[in-house]
Amino acid sequence: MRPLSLGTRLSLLFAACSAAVSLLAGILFNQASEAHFVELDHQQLEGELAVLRGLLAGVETEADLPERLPAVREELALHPELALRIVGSDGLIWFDSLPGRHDPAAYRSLEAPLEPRDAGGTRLTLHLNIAHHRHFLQDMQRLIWLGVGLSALATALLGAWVARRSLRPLQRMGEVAAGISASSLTTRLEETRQPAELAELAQAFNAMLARLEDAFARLSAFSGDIAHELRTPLSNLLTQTQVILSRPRALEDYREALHSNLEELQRLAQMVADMLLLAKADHGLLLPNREPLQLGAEIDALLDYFAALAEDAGVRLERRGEARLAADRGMLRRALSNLLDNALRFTPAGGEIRLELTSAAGRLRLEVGNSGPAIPAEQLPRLFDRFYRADPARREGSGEHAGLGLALTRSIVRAHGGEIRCESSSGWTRFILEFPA
Amino acid sequence: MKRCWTCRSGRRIELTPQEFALLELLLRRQGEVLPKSLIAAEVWDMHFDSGTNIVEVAIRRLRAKIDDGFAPPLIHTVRGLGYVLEVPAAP
Repeated sequence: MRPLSLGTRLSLLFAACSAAVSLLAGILFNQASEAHFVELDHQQLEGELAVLRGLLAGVETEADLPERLPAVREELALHPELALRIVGSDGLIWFDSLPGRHDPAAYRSLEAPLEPRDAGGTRLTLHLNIAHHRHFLQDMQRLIWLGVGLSALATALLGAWVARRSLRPLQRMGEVAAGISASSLTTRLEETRQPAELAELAQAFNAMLARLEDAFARLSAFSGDIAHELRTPLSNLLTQTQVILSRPRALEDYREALHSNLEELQRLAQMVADMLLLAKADHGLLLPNREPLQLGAEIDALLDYFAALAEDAGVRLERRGEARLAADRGMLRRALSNLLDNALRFTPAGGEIRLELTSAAGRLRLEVGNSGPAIPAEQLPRLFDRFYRADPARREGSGEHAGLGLALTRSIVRAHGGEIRCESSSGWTRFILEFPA
Repeated sequence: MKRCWTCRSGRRIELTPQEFALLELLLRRQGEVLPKSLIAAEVWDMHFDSGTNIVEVAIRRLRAKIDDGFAPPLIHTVRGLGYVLEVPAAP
């Protein structure tokens, strides 16, 4: 079942609260008035009792009564709401101004002996008609119920109005969210114009938009880069093939053209293979086949592999420290080879590349550092982006790598539960890999 | 440390262990064109395309020792495919 709307809930709550409060107030007021009336009636009855005792003083037998009755009747005539019954010491009714049965609820009564000290003698019973008090109380109860109903209705309407009003910013937020598409990710909510309760939501909403915008921009750039990276070798292939076919040529020329095409195709195939591997990593399908490795030995094997290249470039290679890690040998070699290749390309002749292994606090740290000009800080976060090349002059497919090396390295490190980052300052750049040991 | 060397036309040639391993591979599979990826895997146990020209550099160094100053050249480049060691058929 669909839950009640917030407006309905607020209205009902408001109405229930105000009804309860006004009902309580009404009941209290009603009881107070009733108590007040009871007290008033008693005062009146006591006053009349004193007057009648005075008029009837000394009456001891029924025979004494008639001479007093005119004064008593006169007094009763002055107070039409009063009735009197006199019961003699013999238990007989000597006088009753209100004969017959009557509704006991319509009267308040007071019974007392004629002589305050003679409880067994003649007794007087006074009846006071309280019908007008009862009417008043009944009218007031009706008014109270009316008040309860009206206040509930009024606060329900108020609640509905308040709810609508305070939910309007939320509605506007919904409208903005509904209007957002891939091309309007720059839209933001005005955080300062939101009520305090919604400011946090607006902030979270904006932060989400910012992340989406960033991810979308990277994805767009990636697609653009793919197209760009593929276009150059493809147009090379096309042009070469068209030129060679434009007229009859010597066998050697055909062979040369095919060789050249082969190299271009190999580069393309490598790039596509790298991209597939990255896509696999993105979907969490890059599963390392872990085995316990002596990282020192692994690094030495890699340094051996790179030794000739480094010697040609006039760069010294060095490894320090030792550590053990359960990792996929092939993937790890590939990741480190990319880092070494990268370091070699940016280390000037006479420079140095140093790999350092340390473990502390349950984490294994591998640093690949090289001397050379620092990488500008604004480029650091983008280094691991696909097709990103720190040096713009390197664009246009000049290198063997299409700028996927560091992205691949990061994917491999992450597949091993590790993290990689780059720090660069005055003449020393280092890539820091950290793995949970 | 292990010393590696070979001999051509009676001249002793000092080799690094890697050069030795590379020459051994080429000799064992004489006449067969060996792709760069296979050479990297066999000599250095690197089973991936590193995208570097490490194999080219290694071949160039080996050639400088084996073929420079000798005739005929033994190590040949097959463009786009790899390298082959073969003795050219006598004319």
